[in-house]
Amino acid sequence: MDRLKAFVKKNPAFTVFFLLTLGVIAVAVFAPLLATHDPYEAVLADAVQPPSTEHWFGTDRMGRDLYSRVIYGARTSLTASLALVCIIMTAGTLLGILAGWFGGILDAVIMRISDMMISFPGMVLALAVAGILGASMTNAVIAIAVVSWTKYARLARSLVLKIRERDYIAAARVTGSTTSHILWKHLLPNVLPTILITGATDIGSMIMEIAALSFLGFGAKAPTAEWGLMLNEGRAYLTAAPWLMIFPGLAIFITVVVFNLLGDSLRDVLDPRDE
Amino acid sequence: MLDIKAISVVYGKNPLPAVRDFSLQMKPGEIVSIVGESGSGKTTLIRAVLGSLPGSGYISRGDILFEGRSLPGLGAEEWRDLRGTGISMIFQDSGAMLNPVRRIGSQYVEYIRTHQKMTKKEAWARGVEMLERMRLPEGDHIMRSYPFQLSGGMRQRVGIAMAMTFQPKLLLADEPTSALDVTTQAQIVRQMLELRDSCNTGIIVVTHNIGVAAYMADRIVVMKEGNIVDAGTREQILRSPSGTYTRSLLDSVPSMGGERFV
Amino acid sequence: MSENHELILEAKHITRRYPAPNGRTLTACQDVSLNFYRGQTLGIVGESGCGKSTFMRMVVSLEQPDEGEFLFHGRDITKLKGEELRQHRQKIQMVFQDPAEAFSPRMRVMDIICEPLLNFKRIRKSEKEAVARRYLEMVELPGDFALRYPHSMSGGQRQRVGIARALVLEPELIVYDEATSALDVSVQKTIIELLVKLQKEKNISYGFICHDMALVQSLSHQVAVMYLGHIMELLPGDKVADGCVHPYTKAMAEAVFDLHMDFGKPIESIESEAPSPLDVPPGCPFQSRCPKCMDICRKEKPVLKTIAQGHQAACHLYDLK
Repeated sequence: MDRLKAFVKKNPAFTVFFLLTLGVIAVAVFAPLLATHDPYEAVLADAVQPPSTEHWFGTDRMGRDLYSRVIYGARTSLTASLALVCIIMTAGTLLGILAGWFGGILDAVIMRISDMMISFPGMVLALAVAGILGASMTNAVIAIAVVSWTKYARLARSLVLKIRERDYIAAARVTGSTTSHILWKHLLPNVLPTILITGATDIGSMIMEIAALSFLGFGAKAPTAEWGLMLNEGRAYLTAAPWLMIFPGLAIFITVVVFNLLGDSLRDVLDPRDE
Repeated sequence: MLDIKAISVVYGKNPLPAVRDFSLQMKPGEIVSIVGESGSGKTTLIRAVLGSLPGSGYISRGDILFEGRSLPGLGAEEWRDLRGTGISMIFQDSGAMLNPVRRIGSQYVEYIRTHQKMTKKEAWARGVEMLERMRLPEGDHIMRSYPFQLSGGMRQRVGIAMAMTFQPKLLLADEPTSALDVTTQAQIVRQMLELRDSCNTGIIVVTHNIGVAAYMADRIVVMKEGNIVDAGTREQILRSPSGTYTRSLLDSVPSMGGERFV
Repeated sequence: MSENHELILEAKHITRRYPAPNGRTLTACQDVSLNFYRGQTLGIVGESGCGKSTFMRMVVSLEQPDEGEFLFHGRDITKLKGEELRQHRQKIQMVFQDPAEAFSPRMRVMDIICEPLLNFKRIRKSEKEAVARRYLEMVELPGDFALRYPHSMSGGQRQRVGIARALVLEPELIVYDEATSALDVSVQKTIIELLVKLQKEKNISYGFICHDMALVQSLSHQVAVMYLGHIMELLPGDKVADGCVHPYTKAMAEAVFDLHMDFGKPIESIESEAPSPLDVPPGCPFQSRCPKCMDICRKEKPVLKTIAQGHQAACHLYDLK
């Protein structure tokens, strides 16, 4: 408990953003409790109503309660983006470490593939992949993962190239550590902080990318409550019913900002110079 | 020329001063070596004299008089005039003070022209002359080089040449030879001694290399944990040190043909 | 003197080259032959870039030579691979220059000291603390340091932890790469005293690289002087001060600032600086700075010749004798 207090005192910014993040996650977890209506229940008689005491955010063209749909949307967007970040972080870091440590042909193959990925605009490539696989949330995640892992591979590789020349790696070799021991005990712990910071900052942009794919019709399919899709559905009514775009847009904005700030403050917490 | 009157230097809210009650009087052309181990406050002291204490450091007590002027009270403008012409400093790696993406010549010319009105051509010629005095042959070539193209010893000479351009009365040298190879170190030490003879520049050398300190110095000050533990002429300190710390410090210096462990 | 001692490691005609830009090659070590004897210290002295560190990295098999071989008790260790090499590493350990760099951050002292033993499954994890305490006391540190982190310790204390780590496998040879250069002189002296004491107790062979000639000669049985990848002179440690013959060794010795020197005497120093190791001239590598350079030095590379027992020099001045 005392250590927790000391931690909070030392990292006030991180604590605040961490609590905000927990708040956002809580919204997703407790969506059924927070929602006032069934997000999928269409009451056509109530279609496109402005915000009121009955429907806080108004209703969409199918007469569904927009507030409940935004709340449920947090579930879709957060699970998808968290899963996405986990996949690209693990795969990218693993490939990057292998490329950086072993070099040679392995390095050449991994890095040339990653170069190919970078030479396309990421979104266009993701659209192509999602187009081939067909529109669904899983496919949107796969499509973005395919184009985004390279960032982590490059980062991990450059960190490994720097760390492998350090004396403590030489010392580990001289003292008879096996390669897997060096990778696991000496390399990974020193690569991970930077990777985690990047990952935390990335959650926000991944939410955006998934929303963008859904907006363009390559991600979540109607009637799923997903923010990007909701934006798209509201697009046609922009002037007549602006709340259809404002509230999902606001949800994306708030979530992205919270995760970005969390990532930034994590940098200060994990900075080894402080130790 | 320089009169340091019982100064104490404090960093931030740390109640323990990094330097405590330090006094030193220097005559023109005199060389004083300040020796001590890490944490002795020797670098803090020399930076206090130059008015460039890092971060939260400040002089909490005492005064530093340079030719009768109190240094701690000077404003930024007065310091700029004084640095380079009255007091100069050289560092462990003077090359690190140079901008790596600009040629040495352009930086040197700019430096000269901020202190003295002259044309670029005159300043260039002045720079070449100084470099050649520092035994850097082909000064023109050096002026056209980037810092990274020179060796550590050459960069250090460039640093000394720049510091000595206006023949300052006082040169502060912070570990001037510690980054250099032994043969280069000997060359730099010899040159600093020549400077004293030709320009009558007083030098304060701060170094952990006690051999270098002893060779250069007229007087030696031994510091430990912010305090002066011993001070005197070189002969006094080396031949009959008063403090036990000084004695053990001197004993620790390996010497050719001296104590052998095996 | 060395003849009476058992030969542990023999370096024979070691050459190491690195590719450099523009198709050039950097020769870090050129035909270096040196011997390590049990219970004896071989010191290597030279200026930065002379190849002394490269040589020692090959001794501990962190790098492999392009030519030549290392015979460890007669067995060529440059050919070892994989598990065989890993098993061999127990015999030769190393202490690094910067004690802050030599430990993985976030590891406790006892994990650092015991890692080599765990690598070879010589102890169980439960024995870590007890073993670490024993070795900490051996290097004259309090046993309680076992639970601390290196970044909360002073440079000298950290270097002792580095020495403890090198000792745990009970190697036959320990290599010290400028192991005391980052320390204050008084700390340096206590570390040197510790090293010498440990060597006498355990009869270990040492390889000691350093740029401080006065320090090297004070603790070495033999001293090798290197310049641009070449051995210039190899002589007993007690002869360095007044028995060295090579002009480069003499220049290095002259450049030592000694508290017992005559301060009135102007400091002697050779002019200029070492050429880039990429541009080693044909003939003697030292020719451009040698005060006694002759015609032959520009044409023909001098080879090491024995001039007295345990004393060799590579200089044309000694061809005639």
